[in-house]
Amino acid sequence: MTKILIIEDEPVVWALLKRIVQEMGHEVDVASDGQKGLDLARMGQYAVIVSDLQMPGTISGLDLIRRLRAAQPQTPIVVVSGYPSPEALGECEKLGITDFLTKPFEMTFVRSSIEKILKAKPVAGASVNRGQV
Amino acid sequence: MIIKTPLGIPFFDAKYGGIYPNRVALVTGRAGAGKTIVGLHFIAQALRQQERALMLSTRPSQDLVITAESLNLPLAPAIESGALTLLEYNEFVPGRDHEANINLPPDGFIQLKEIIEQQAVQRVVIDSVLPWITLPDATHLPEHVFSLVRAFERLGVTALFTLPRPVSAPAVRLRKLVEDVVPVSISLNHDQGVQAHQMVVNKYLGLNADPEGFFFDIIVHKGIALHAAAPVAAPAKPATSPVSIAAATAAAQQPAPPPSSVSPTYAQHAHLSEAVAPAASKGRASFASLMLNQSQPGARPAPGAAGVPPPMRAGPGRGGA
Repeated sequence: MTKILIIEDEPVVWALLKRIVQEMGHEVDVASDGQKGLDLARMGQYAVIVSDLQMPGTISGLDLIRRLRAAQPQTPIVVVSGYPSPEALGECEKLGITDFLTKPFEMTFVRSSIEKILKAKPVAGASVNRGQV
Repeated sequence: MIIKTPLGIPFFDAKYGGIYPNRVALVTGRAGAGKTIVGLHFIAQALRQQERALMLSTRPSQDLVITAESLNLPLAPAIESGALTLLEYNEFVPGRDHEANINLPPDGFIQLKEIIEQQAVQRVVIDSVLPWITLPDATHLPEHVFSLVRAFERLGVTALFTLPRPVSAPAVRLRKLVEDVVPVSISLNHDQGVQAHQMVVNKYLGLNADPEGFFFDIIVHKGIALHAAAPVAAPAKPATSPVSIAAATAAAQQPAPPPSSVSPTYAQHAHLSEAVAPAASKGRASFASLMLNQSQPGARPAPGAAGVPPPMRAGPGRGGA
């Protein structure tokens, strides 16, 4: 089963994202802050990481994306952010994130974004069950 | 070369080639300026091109059909065939949606997105977009507007948003926020001196703004047409449009509309322009949440039938206007 990591501090938001991903037939881990997310990313084999940019804790924002990218260079990252500055958008692009979805409206595309990623490229370490996607 | 999407208004398309595909264009104007009628032309053009279209309006769907018919823009056959979906903001349900968390997508948008995707809609008119972009707290308004516009673009549709002419500082800011993130912005006025409507292109990405614009009439059985005394606009430069000079010339050679004294304008005949003013005038609380109902004139299949979504039960707005 494909595993997706969600890094998001707002319970109502991660609950929504988790439900969407589970409805897609994937397994979900949720981290409510950047450090937990980074720890899980280092341990787990995730097909996709979905991360907020702005979270409480010692690691948040672009620093989190940089560390995630360093820890899992091949794992596609979808950033879901409420309030991206143009600088943040540009930096995310430089860091090679796969997709950027803005809250509230554009985050409704998280399902199609993940589907597109998984369809485009089987991800190393993830036992993608095509029949379930 | 970008193949543009015709707006369905000949003099505009002759000059610009249309609007940018899979992007949003903004039409601003006070009530009666012709925003809805521009939207109807855009829809009619979609239908002429065998594209599927959707219009979400503050006006009753039946009124839109009547208005369009009177302008020789028949919509009923397209509604019957399913090529056109008309939705209306018609009922207020206070307390719906996620007012406590502006980071969650409104239920209404999720449902609208599903309809657009399920029905493979290619063109959308949101008349007016105000309910979607009003928040109780304007702190995050720029990001909210940005997210909405990006979401429509991600849907892969060419969209026309209308917005009432701003009459307050916050409303001016709101229009500016939308204008900043769309490639084309048009404002409509009614020029008392010329006795005609005026279309001004405030922004057209890649081209200079056109502060003079076009003067036009809204004529019964004909729709929007260049004002009889108005000069014909030359194609915009630099030309990125596929519309040729020949096409522009042909448009210029079309018979001029008769003077309004001979053929009264639509507004003179129908008095519809202000009759169903957007619910925006009802104030903030009115847009706390709206119900969207899908119109099903004629023999359309019932909601829930294959390929037909159920009526939309939640609105896009969560705050006040």
